Amino acid sequence: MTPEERVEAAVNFEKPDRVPIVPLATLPCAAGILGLNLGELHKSARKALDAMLKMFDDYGGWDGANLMPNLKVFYNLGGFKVKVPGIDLPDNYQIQFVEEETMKIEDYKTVADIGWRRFVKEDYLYRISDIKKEDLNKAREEFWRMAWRATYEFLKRKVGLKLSVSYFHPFFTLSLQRSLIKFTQDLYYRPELVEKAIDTMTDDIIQAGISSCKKSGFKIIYMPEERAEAAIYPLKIFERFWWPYTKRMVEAWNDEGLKVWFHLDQCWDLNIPYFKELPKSSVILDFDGLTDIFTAKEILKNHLCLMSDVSASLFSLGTPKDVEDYCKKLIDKLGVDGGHILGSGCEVPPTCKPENFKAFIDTGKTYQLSKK
Amino acid sequence: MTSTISENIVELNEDEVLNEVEIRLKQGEDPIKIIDDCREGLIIVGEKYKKKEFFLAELILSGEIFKAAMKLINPYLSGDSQKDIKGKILLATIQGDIHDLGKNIFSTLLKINGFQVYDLGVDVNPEIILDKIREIRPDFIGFSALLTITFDPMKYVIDTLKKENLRNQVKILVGGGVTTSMVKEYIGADFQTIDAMEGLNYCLKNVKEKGVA
Repeated sequence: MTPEERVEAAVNFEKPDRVPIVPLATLPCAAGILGLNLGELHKSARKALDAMLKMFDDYGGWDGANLMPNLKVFYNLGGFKVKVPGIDLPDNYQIQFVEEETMKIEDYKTVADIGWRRFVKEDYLYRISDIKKEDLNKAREEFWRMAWRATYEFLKRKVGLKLSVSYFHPFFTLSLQRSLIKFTQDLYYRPELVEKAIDTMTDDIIQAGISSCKKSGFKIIYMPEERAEAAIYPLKIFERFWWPYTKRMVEAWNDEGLKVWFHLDQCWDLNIPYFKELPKSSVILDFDGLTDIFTAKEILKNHLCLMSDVSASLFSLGTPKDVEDYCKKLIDKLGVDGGHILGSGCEVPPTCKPENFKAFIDTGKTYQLSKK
Repeated sequence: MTSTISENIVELNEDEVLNEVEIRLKQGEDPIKIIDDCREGLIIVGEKYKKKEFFLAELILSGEIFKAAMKLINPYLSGDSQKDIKGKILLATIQGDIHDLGKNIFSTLLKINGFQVYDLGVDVNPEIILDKIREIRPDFIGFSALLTITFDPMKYVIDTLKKENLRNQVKILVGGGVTTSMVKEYIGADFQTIDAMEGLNYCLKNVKEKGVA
């Protein structure tokens, strides 16, 4: 099977030749494993992508990848304030979101009126980045140059699951821009304002996703969320501000033949049953180790594909045997016959031991075969 | 019997709480009594959280209401009224990590429950943490971590405390999304959690056992 066929088989609960392997292995992991200066990589899109490709090639490749090095311009153009190594932070640090109240209460109405993307382009981008209005086209060109080269290189390597068309969930976006505490106060004390903004953002993202997938030919949209789960909010908040909009996005994209890869950080245990309402095989659910993935499997059975959760701490502190054992447990319990993609839960950290990363890749490639 | 203030804290009615605090202060009521009424509401919020009727959101919101109430009450407090301290805790997000959400929520819970909090902020050099520990001799140290790069600096602090025979005098907590029992073992902490309330309960339990409270 090609990586694409393997991923498709897993998502559709058909039998792949082996479990597909999709680590979120981008710049931090590449710098750590190859012994490179992360700060230097963040200053050069070419060097950054070269490092990611070298790591991919050195370890014999895998089945899906984040195509883009997550550089500052990538986040800024999406409307996110970040600090990056080599520019805002010491060289050995990781890129980190800056969570401040950069979006004000009065901005909700603007977002509801004109949509998130126009709000970012016309106003918000200049609050949260060094990009000046007159340099916007230059920044976009830089972004697209990087995107095209990354896409070309990873397609050449035949990756099956491509993390490229990507939108933060409207709920998560607003939580980051308002900051968690302010956003929580908005949800309880100004719910209509939030609701109207999320409604417009949802339609905006649906159209953007369809358009980007048509242009690129990609069929999967990546969507991170780490703020809507019952670790933080009661289900009444989830049911009002997250679930209806999520369903709307998934169903609209599903009608266009597109699937969604949800990256769900934190503990989603209480929220898992809701996902049964989505069309079969319409999404991949990717957890970070805080959700009980084995219980999620019991609840969702053969309805939605799960991406597993070898954790950052295990990659950093465990032994190759620890990693191997956990990967085997995941493969055995989550669906050797489909419905499981072996994943890293979240970003593989720069402190990942190379031998642990190798154990992860090798176990994914060989374990299931060894059982035949 | 619950007061109106405590009921409104449980209902998360910020305006009503602050109005009543202002009125009672103007009427010359003992500010300690008003704080006690606020705490009564916060205790109910904590119980509801324990029973999974409330979530982190309600802890955050009730904590924010309490902070706003305390801003009004503080000018009316005398120095003596702030001496009833359950214990001293030093909090920090260590070098390499600039995240502070979890730490700030934990800090608020600790203050509400009568701990004296020394919050050193984010991206803190381990030597600064060590100096502060030597100076204030805290009962607890709380590390917050969202990135693996923090593991070795946290371990360094704890190893240094061992060398200086200070380790046994303090309980060390580590929390945050990236932490696991493996991280606790590696750095040599006493307790690990991703739940701020669990962290608070650990501190309260230890204080009770030591008979400080």
